[in-house]
Amino acid sequence: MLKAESISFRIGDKYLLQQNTVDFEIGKFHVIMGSNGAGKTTLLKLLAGDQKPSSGKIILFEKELNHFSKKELATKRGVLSQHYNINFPISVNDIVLMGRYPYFQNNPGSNDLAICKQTMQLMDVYHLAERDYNTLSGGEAQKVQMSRVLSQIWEAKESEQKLLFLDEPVSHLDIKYQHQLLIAAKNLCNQNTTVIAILHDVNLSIAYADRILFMKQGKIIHATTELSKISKEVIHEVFDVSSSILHPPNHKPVVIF
Amino acid sequence: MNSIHEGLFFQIRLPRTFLCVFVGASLSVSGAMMQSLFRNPIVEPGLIGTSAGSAFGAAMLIVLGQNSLFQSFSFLGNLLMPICAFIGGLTATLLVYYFSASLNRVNISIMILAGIAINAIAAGGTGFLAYIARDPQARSITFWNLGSISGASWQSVLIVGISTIVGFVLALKFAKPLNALQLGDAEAGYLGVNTERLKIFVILVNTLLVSVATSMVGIIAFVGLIVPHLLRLLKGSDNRYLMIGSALLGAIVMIVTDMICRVVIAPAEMPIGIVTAFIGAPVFLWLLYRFKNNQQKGGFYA
Repeated sequence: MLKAESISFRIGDKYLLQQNTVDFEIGKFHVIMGSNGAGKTTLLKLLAGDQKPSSGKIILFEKELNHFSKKELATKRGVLSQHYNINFPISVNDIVLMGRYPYFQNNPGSNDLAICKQTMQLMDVYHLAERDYNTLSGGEAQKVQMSRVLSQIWEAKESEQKLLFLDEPVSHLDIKYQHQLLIAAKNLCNQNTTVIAILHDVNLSIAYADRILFMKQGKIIHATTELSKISKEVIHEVFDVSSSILHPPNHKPVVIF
Repeated sequence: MNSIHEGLFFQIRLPRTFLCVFVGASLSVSGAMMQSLFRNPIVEPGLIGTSAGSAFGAAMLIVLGQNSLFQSFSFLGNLLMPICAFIGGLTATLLVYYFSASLNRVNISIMILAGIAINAIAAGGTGFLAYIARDPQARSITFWNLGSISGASWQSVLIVGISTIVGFVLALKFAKPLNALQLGDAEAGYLGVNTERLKIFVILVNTLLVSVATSMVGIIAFVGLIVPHLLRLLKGSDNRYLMIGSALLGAIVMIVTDMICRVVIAPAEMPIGIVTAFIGAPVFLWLLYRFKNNQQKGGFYA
């Protein structure tokens, strides 16, 4: 459903992405990993349609990505970015409601409000609804943003395919909420939503991903769905650290450093 | 009621009050829009060159109006002044915006500095025009720089009224996308907002509101800064309410300020720009102080 055909991206002479061809299967949880500056966020931004590739093309639902209008795309995919910096007092409610902006004209319908309430409850931030967003802790803010992104792609009918892009969604969360957020994303996969996430924790990735893509210097160097076969050679090549991999019975492999 | 009182009421007081309403609403709505556009609470039309540019445009017409270039546009009649102000204001605003916008975000310190530079150029130009002007012209230019409602007539009410209503309706349309823009450029894009187009439209509408008001009453600073701010403190920053609230509160503030101007040194009259500066500038400093403290507080980058 989402395909990239030899996409590159450069700023000036510097290539941030070089000739990546990749496709993403519907309803799967795809995780992108790699060291800092490997081009993960750039790839995500291209796939989400924020930036256009310098060369190559991206195909979504059999149609080129830049043939979609911003409005059309807004009802098909949600994106959780790494950083948000808001300078004005604004309530958590108002932030989450923005996720429904693509769906209403001037005033939100009862359906929109119900969805916002549902996603806030899912992320355990409903009690913060009236709070000023700027007074939240980093983790709370991240959960609120996740609620907003979830309301954007929340659809009652499961026939419609949606995409969810997550750029380091758990960077500010404690262990409980790391899992809670990823479980929420995973549950969406079962409803025809395709998740593409950037994560830094290898073990967390192995626990939730259906497929892991490893990036290095602007290229996807490995992509595998057989997570049990990830070797320490791959880890070394991607992250330049030595590790060993344990295979506990009845459990996904565990990488220790 | 005798005819003098009637004339006083209908020809002087009433248009003056209406002018206050429209100018106050224009400046406040434009302040609210600009703050949301620049994602910064300390922006107002006076800081980013719009007002000074408009005054420069108006001054050009006042002093060089007999020049053949302006004569060839004389068919525009009374609209020529607002149009000159609009061109001046737009040029100044775009210059400041061009300098301060770099790769996806507006650099605020550069914006303030560019604003100072553009304001200085516009003020210098206006000063030069005042210097070479004949006496009555120089007086009108001084009046522009201080701001005054006393020239109100039904005609000026009509012109400012139309621009205010058009600008306000458009501002309401921009409210939702401007809210989304608070998350960031890319994030607003993900929510379906065409950010580049939005920015251009907002700057155009803003310039319309400010320059038409400025061409009629001169530079009135700080109203556009403080009115939206009071509302943000009271009711949060949802632009859907902020625009309506700014229009109402701006109108009220302007009527009250105008009343102060007429009373403090009666029977003479204080230019309104002086009063707004004396009240507005300290409030601005207080806001800066708050802003500074907020920057140090929690959140993502604590």
